[in-house]
Formats: sequence, structure tokens, C-alpha cells
Amino acid sequence: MQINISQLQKIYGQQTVLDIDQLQISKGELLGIVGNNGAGKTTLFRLVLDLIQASGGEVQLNGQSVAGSEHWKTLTGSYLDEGFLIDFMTPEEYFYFVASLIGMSKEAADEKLRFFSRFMNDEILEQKKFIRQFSTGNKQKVGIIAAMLVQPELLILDEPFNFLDPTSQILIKRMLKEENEARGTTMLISSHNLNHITEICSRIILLEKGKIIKDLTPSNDDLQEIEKYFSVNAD
Amino acid sequence: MQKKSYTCSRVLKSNYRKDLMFFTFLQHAWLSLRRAHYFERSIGIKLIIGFVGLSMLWYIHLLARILPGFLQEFYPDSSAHELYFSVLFVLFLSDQLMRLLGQKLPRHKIAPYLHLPVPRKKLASYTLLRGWLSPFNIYLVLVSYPFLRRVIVPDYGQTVFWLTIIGLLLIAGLSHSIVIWAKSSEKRGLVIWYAGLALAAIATWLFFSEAKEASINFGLALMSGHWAAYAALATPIAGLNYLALQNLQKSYSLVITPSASKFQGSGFMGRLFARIPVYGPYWDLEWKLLTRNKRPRANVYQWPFAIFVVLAMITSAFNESTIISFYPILLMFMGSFGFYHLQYTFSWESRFFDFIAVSSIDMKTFILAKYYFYTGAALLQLILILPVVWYFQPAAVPMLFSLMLYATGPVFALLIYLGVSNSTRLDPNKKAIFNFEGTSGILFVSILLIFVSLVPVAVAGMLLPWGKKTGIYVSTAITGLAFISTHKWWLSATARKFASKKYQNLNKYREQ
Repeated sequence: MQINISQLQKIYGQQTVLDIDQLQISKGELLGIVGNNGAGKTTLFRLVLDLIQASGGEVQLNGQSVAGSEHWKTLTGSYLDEGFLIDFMTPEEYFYFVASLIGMSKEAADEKLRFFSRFMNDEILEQKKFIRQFSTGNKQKVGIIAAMLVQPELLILDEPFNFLDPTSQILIKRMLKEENEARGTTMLISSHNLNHITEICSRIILLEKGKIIKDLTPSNDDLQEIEKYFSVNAD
Repeated sequence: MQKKSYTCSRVLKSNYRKDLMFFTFLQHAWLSLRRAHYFERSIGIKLIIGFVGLSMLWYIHLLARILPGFLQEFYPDSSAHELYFSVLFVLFLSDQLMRLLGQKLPRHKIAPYLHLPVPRKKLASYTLLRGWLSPFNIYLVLVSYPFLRRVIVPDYGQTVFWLTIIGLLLIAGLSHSIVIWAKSSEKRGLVIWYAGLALAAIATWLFFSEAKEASINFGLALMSGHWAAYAALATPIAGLNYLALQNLQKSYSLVITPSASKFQGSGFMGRLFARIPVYGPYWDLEWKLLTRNKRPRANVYQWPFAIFVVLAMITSAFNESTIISFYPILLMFMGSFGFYHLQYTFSWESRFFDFIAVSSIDMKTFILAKYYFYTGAALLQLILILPVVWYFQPAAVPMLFSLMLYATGPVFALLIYLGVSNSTRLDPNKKAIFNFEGTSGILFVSILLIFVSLVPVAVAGMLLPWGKKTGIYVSTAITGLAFISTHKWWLSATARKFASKKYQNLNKYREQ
């Protein structure tokens, strides 16, 4: 899925929290978004998903404005936070519900879920628990799996490595890469962990106070440049 | 600056002294109340709530002025206070029933304190004591106070009056203690309580006159300050509170090692809804929302009571002259639990509305599914009660039928349409009796509009040529049918309205 962002602005009161002049993301690109807290990563995702109204500009998915159509919803999978989970369902029920919304049968959903079996580590399915009773890490897994289950053309994950154990972090990276290579899924991933981002992303943008200040393709030099940016900020 | 930080640390130190722990908890409880979402309501809502509260106090006062004279006229051989005491046991049983449905176990939010050096016994004692500050413990005295003052003070003096009030406080205390003990004992205590309550109700029914006599004698004993009467109340209060304290301490351990989930799978309804095309997944979602979250579930559990109330009213008090006065009350019941649930439309889903907004859920289908679900529930209720009403009061059938049509027509239309303005984030799994979470100005207005809307419909009905009653039924049914037949149109309008307010609502749903 091709993403075009132009003149996109989000202003709260007097404060501009996002201001992106132009950003094109090609089909099959795995874009990593990094930046400190308050840089505008989640705001950007919410604007792409039409969850908040832009103060100016627009986001187009495959040439259609997200605010003007809903067709993109069947092609998109996303997980930003726990607000994306129906916490009084069991993971199975939630997965089947998500699958049913795009007309996927239970059998097909089960087949897809097998792909995530190692990631789930026998802690998600058949637990006889509602999502609200799971640990934060396992809730995160449920959200990520639900987003990927529908085999979207565009996958958006906000801080997917948070709350996950090291094994799960490695697995999710592997799964994202596989999915990207096998199906050409366009992915937008944000993280505070530079190593994760540089390891899987084909392109990285650095946000600062709502603006894109760097747009890089990962290489050792680029990684050093980003590390330098964060260490200077810490000093 | 230095002085300020010194003062803060001194306050903290003193607060953590053992003897001041209770006040620290109270301070925290006050802060959690003051900073709660529902407390930050607009001044308009607070004024409306204040007005409603003052009106209730005024009604109680008026009742106290009118009731003694009324009782004297109808029961010239009995004194007013004796008549009051004769229903004391009925009051106690109904109080227990109310507490069964509404009173919460006094659980302070203890999780943040468990890893701190705070003795669990202290926490348990505090929660237990704080539980006494419940509206359930005050209302009986509050309602009875002006009446008893009027009937006792002139003949028996202040001392006797205050002895009676203390006795009433102890009765409320006993009722409170039973509930707190039962609800803190998990299953066993609850079973004993339910069984005890059922036995007491059966015994009262079988030996009504004896129970009435005993109730009068007990009231008179309290009034005369007989120590045995007070001891009979105070002893179980002390015992039950001791047991509740033990139970609470045990339940704090459960916070650390939660017991296994009681979840048993999707169940019959889940499988049934899964077979229905288009609306099936939405009904399944609605069903799970209703049955797996404390707040809506309490409402579902009360549904049989609603059916019982309708049947009781129709079979016992319905007659030609009282028919019109039944109208607004029955309207509420004939909407079934949809009447209550749809008041918070869209807020119920506030915790996962981001998901709804980004998934391929069509808002119009979502709203239609909701409407069909609650209309189906109202229809089911009518089908359930119709044979009984037909047998006992066939004259009431057209009224109930027309009211069901009105409830599922204009009433649901108004609730769903105005529900677009319900932008409050609501936690459905949190019990919310006697707090105002989810309440909004628009809710007050919509309820008011619903009841007022019956007036022009009834007036129009009276002008019809089929007589007063039939005319009202016909006009009510026609209005209901008009809305039902056009439901796709107004539900589409609601979906469009929601789309136009989408960003504003989603923003508020995200607010903690």
C-alpha cells in the first residue's frame, strides 16, 4: 500500500504537535519511526488511521484520503495501545471477531494463528481468561497478532517491542520481516529501541517536536548519526 | 523552596506514623474521590444533581407532615409510631434486598499499599470502617427522622425519640454487617445469606400477623430503651464485623495470587449468534459486553425483577381508574433493559472505540444491530409476560403492547440519537451504583424528554373518537409504529451524526 502524506498538521491550542510537509511511503516499505517522548510518533499513527482530525493537510492511502473513505480499513491492521483490545473477550474470541469482520472463516483464522504459535508461547490461547486478565506483555501480543491476522496491506504498530521478553522481541522482528518479504506488506513501526528499528527497517525517519528531521536508510553511519542525536539530547 | 520541601517531608513522615495511618487513608480516599473523572463534571450537572437531592429531601419532609394525619384517618385505633414499627421487619427485608443488588464490598484500592510497610490488618480495618459511610446506612434514618420526630416528640419527649433513632441506626448497622460479612465471605457466605433471606421472606409470608406483632414489640422495646433490644442488635453487629475483618484480610492475599478464572467458554448464546449473518458478530459483541462486565451484568440480573414488577403492578393494582398513572412507569419497564442500557449508548464501547474506528465495522450496521438487539429483548419480555397478563388482566394487554411499541420506537430513537453526545469514557467492568460515571447533562435531558413526550401523545389520543383509554393506546401504538417502520432512516441519521462527531468523541473516550 502506498502512503502519501502532505502538509499534515496537528495543532492542540497553540502547540503544533505534528507538522509534516511531505512524506511518501512506497508499497512494501518497512518504515521505522524514532523520536523522543512527545516527538509525535503516536499522533502520526492516529492521523494515518483517521483516529484524530488533522488540523491541516491529509493522509492518502492508495490515493484515497483516509478521512474521506473507509475502504482502507479492510486493508489495514494496527495496534497502538490497549484501546484496540476488547478486553472482555478471550483472545480466541477477539481473533475470530476480527477475522469475521473481513469475512475470514474460523478455520482460516485458526490456520493463520498457527503462524504465531511460537510467539504466543502457549500463554495466549486456551487460557480460559479474558484479555483484561492477561499481563501487559501478553495483551501486547494479542494486539499485535490481531493486527497481523487479517494479512493487511498496511501494518501499523506503535512500540511493538514494549513489555515483551527478549525471545518474543526476536520473534516479532522475524515475523515482521517474513511478512514484509513474503507479502510486500507496508509497515510503520515505532520504537525507542534503535537496535530493533535498524535491524528490521528499510527506512528510518527521526521525529523531533512533530517534524521529520532525518530520513535515512539504515547503515552504520546512519545508526551512529541517530545514536549521536539521542546522546546529545541526553547530555 | 527549602522550607516547603521540609514541610512536605515532615507531613509525609507524620502520615506514615502508625497511629495516623487511618487519616492518611482517608486523605487518599478523599483525593481519589475529588480527582475522579465523574467529579470533574460541569457546574450544570452538579446543580441538577443538587436540585434532585434537595427535591427528595423536600418530599420526605412533606411526607412527614402529611403521613401522621393520613394514618390517623385510616387507622384510628393505632398510634402512628406503632404502625411504623409494624412494618419495621418488612423494611429490614427490603433493605437487605436493596443491599443485595446495590451495596458494594468496601474495597479500598489496596494494591498500591500492599508492597508498602502497611499492616494488612490496618488496611482491612480501614476498609471495613469506611464501608460504614454508605448511603445505605443513612437513608432509613434520613427518611424516618422527620416522621418519627413528628409522632414521638410531642407525646414521649426528646429522649425517647433519640433512643428510637439509635435503634434505627443499629438496625441499619445490622443490615450492613450481614451484607458486608456475606459479600466478603465469597461463595459460602453468599449462599447462607441468600438462603436466610429466602427463609425469612417465606416465614414472614406464612406468619405475617405474628411477625407484625413481634416487629411492634421490638420497636417499642427500642423506644423504651430496653437494653436487651439494643444488645440483640449490637452483638451480631460486632460478631459479623469481626468475621468480615478476617475475610477482608484473606481477600488481600488473593490480590497477590489471583484465583483461577471462572470462564467457561463462549456458551450457547455465542454459538447461536455466530450462525446469524450480518448482525450475528455484533450481537455476540453486545451479549458479551452485557454478560461479562459488572455494570451491565447487574442490569441483566435485574431484568427478572423488572418482569416481576410489571406483573405485580398489573395483577394487583391495575384498574380502570389508575390506568393513566401506570403509563410513564410502565414505559420504563416495557423498554426492558434496553431502556437503561441505551442511556449510555456508545459510552459502553468507549474503552475500545479506537478498534471500532479502525476496523471494517460499518457504523450504520453497528447501530442497527444494537437497535435490533434491544428491540428483540423488549419483544421477548412482552412475549414472556403476555400469557400471565392475559389471564389475570386482559384489559391491560393493549396498554402493554402499545407501550412496548412506544419504548422501542421513539424512546429508543431518542436514546440512540442523543447517545451520540455520550462522549464519556466508561469502564463497564466497574460497578457504578451511586456514582455519576457516564452521567451527562444530555442524559438528564433525554430521560426528561422521554417522559414528557408521552403527554402530547396521550392528549392526541384523547381526541380520537374511540374513547379516552383506547384513544391513548392507539395514539401511543401509532407513534411507536411510525418510528419502528422508519428505523433505518433515523438510525442512518444517527450514524451520520456520529461520523460528524467522531474525532471529538474518540478523543474523549481516550481520556482517563
